[in-house]
Amino acid sequence: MKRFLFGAILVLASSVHAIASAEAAPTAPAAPAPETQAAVSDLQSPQQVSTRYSAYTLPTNQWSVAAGALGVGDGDVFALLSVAYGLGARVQLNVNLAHAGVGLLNIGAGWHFIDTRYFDLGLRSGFWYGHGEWFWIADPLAKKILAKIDLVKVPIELTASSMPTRWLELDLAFQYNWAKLFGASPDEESLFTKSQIGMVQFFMRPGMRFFISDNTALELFAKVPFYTAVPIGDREPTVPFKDSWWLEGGLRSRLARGLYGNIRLNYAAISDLLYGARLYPAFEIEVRP
Amino acid sequence: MSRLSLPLGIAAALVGVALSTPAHADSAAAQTNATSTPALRNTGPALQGFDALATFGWGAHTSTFVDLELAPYGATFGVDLGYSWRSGFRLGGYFFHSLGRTLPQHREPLVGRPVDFTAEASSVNGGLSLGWGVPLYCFALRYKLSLGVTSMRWRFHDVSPAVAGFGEDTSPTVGFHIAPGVALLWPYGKFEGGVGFEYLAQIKDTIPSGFIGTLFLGVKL
Repeated sequence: MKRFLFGAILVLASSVHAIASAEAAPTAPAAPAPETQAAVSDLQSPQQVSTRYSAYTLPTNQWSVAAGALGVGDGDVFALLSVAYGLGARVQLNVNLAHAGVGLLNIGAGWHFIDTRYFDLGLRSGFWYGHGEWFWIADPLAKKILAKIDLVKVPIELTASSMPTRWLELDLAFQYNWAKLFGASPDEESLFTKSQIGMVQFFMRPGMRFFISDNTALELFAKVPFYTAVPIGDREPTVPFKDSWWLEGGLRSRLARGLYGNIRLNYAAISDLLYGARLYPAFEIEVRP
Repeated sequence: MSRLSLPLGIAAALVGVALSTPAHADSAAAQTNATSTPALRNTGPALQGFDALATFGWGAHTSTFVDLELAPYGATFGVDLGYSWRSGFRLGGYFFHSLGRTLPQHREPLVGRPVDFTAEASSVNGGLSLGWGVPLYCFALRYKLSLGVTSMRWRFHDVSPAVAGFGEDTSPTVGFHIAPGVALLWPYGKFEGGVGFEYLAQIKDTIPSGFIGTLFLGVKL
């Protein structure tokens, strides 16, 4: 898995540099005022605000393409190649093509339905379908276990966000994941369960972002699960808290106009299961053309 | 696929740099609008130029190979060279040697007596790094993604590698790594210094991943 990401992310990183630099090229000397005004907006503005783990969604007709790797969160576990689009009315759609490419369909929608100066609420949901036989990138042993498993998952998340000051954003999410594994044996641990993609789970995710300048934010999040279970058979064995929580700290910066970089360190039992170490990095590049 | 993707990636990186226009409007816009922007706005130091940095640091392993704990990082020193374009994009290379540490180990095999031994490891790391610097007040905050090779030397005192749980492998063990990292740099005239970290995510299971905190000191031309 990591070998595949090694080259793929490099290609994407270099491609976005070309795109972003072209986007960010100086306009003619007599550039119109709105262009200049857009350039001075910061990471709290609707065009640049992070939609990851927040109530916010992309502005109308705004595309976003994000590429990353080594994540431990739900939608970015292993690899991320996400395409998102702001439909209007504060609704966005997104799909993780990196997951789709390995046999895991992962589409989602978000609705930022309460939008006030100091308080925002967003609702997110999606549909996941994983067909183990299509998971070509797994090693032979994992593939053998996965081959007989199908996964269906529907997450639903309510997120509250608030920007009380110019330098702070607070986020609090509650998420419930309904999941069902078909064809799985209770005695076998598959990538779907190890990655928590295929688990029934109810958790809280508090977080905060400190905007330390107009182009950089320090982000801190925690996942606090109340209930985690493997949806196999009738008994659904539960997973203890110590194996399902995580902490995350990271930086997000606007690298150039329309180009954002994000690097994070996760400390979690799931990192140990997925990557062999409790402390593990993740990174992401996002382009908003 | 993995063998092909690395050279393709490097080629794409070079093409991307060559085709891109050199500047973006953020700095200029920031200056022209300084009066209408909040206090958090900053322009920061110029990013363009060649830098040659000596690196000193300390690294700790974050993973084990089954029950075997190897510490190939520890005290670390090396160099980091690169060129940054005005956009902030940087293409560089790095090389560092980690002295590693010797760790005591204990084994209780199913058959036979318990075994105590020490495992000694050190490593040499090098590769290419893609980076992007952003101004942060008087500093430059540099995001990095390094792609390179680790050569880990190891030795088990008093036992064979098989007993230690290292199979038939021979020293040094060589493998690829991906290393995301961040550095906060302070340019002062032609000099530059700063602190940062990088996380060496190792592809090969027998080489432990590690976290390395680094001090940078060098010149920027």
